[in-house]
Amino acid sequence: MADYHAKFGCIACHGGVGGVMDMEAAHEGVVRNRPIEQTCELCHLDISKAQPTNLHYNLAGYITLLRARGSEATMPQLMVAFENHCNRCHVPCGQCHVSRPASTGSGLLKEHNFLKTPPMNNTCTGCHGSRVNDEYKGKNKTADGKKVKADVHFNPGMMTCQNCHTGESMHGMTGVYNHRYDGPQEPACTQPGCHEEVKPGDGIAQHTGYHLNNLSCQVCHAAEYKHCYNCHVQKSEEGIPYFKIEPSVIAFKIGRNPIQSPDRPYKYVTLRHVPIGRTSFEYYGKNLLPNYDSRPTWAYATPHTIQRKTPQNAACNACHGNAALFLTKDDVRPEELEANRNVIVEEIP
Amino acid sequence: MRQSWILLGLGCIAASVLLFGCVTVSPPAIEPAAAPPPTPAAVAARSLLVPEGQPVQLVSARFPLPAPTTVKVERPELDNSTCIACHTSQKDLKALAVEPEETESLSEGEG
Repeated sequence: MADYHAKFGCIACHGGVGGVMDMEAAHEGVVRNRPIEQTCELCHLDISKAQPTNLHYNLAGYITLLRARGSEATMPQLMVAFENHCNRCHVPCGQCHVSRPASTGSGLLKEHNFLKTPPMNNTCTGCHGSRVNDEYKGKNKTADGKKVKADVHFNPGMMTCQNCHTGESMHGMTGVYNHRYDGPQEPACTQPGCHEEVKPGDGIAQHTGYHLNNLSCQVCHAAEYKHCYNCHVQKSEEGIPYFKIEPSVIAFKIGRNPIQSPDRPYKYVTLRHVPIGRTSFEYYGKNLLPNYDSRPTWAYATPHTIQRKTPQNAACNACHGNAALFLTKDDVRPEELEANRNVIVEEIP
Repeated sequence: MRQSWILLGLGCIAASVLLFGCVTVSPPAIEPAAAPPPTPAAVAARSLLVPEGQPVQLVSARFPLPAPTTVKVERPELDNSTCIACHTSQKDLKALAVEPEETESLSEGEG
């Protein structure tokens, strides 16, 4: 049976001229993606209206952090860099529901069918590849060659991204947020239908009130995950944008919560080093991040390496007093000590 | 006896009057009735349709109706047959296929 959208025909979405056999004349005005207001929104109004607040669409998370580390004076130059290097991920509807995102090379997913739920391997992990994909599927190895197991939600059972990350959340329909860790936890491990039974006295000795209130779930249940350092962006002489980044590191680090709030009340969380550097955008101007130290480079993280049993939850002393698990001054590069002042653990619990 | 004679006299008078009437009085002529007045319902309906003081326009007077006027709206040509014909033709697609130009990426490291 033909896809329902076929009834609208090719030209309604892609433009062009019908009834013409000459190739050039037929393709006059053809576009890959006509504006959402002229296509998807005509039927899918609720989702389309949320697009401006959809973090996948507006990439507000990038802007939020550039503004925090930069300044109003440097934002124009930072936005040029953003347009050249970051905005390629910006996705219209079709680049998940019909084809792979353009930033991953495009290509139809299943002929020209419209898929309500995009296939995770060609869409989600096409973009979220180097960290989420490799962690979730168990493709990482530690420095000493030990393979990090796949996330327990992936293997066995292979839950897909959409099993936890709902369409409402990914389409920006649950609220207006500046960053993916802004607002309530979506998803939350203990939400209805998931691990809602987790509470003090549930039969698991470590699930004490103190632990559950002060530690994010990942502190006890995540394995090692990926850290990236010092990404630098620039353009070639031909104007082609490119980046250079240091080799990533697989490690596990617990630190103090940099975004403690009623939504994330934990005192300790897992931290990930993000690929920012003080001179990441120097190609576009000097000192474009004058407030670099206002945000930690070891950021709040929810690694996709969840295990029921981990080295740190094997016994009390596996975690308590084990400095190797915690982010200390020794783990932080000297030029980043000030930025990470609030997340470094001074005294190992 | 005298009363009987009186009663007999009155009976004779009545009989003679009756007989005289039958012979001389003709039956009333039946004239066609006038058009019946409109029923209350019909009056009410008409008063709603035709405002007072305006002449009633008979339905038959509205015919024949004028021919409907149509304004041609300019619409884009949405004949997709040629799109599909070309984009599903293996022969044409192969003939027009262009190998994507391999561009060497200058990026280093994981994206």
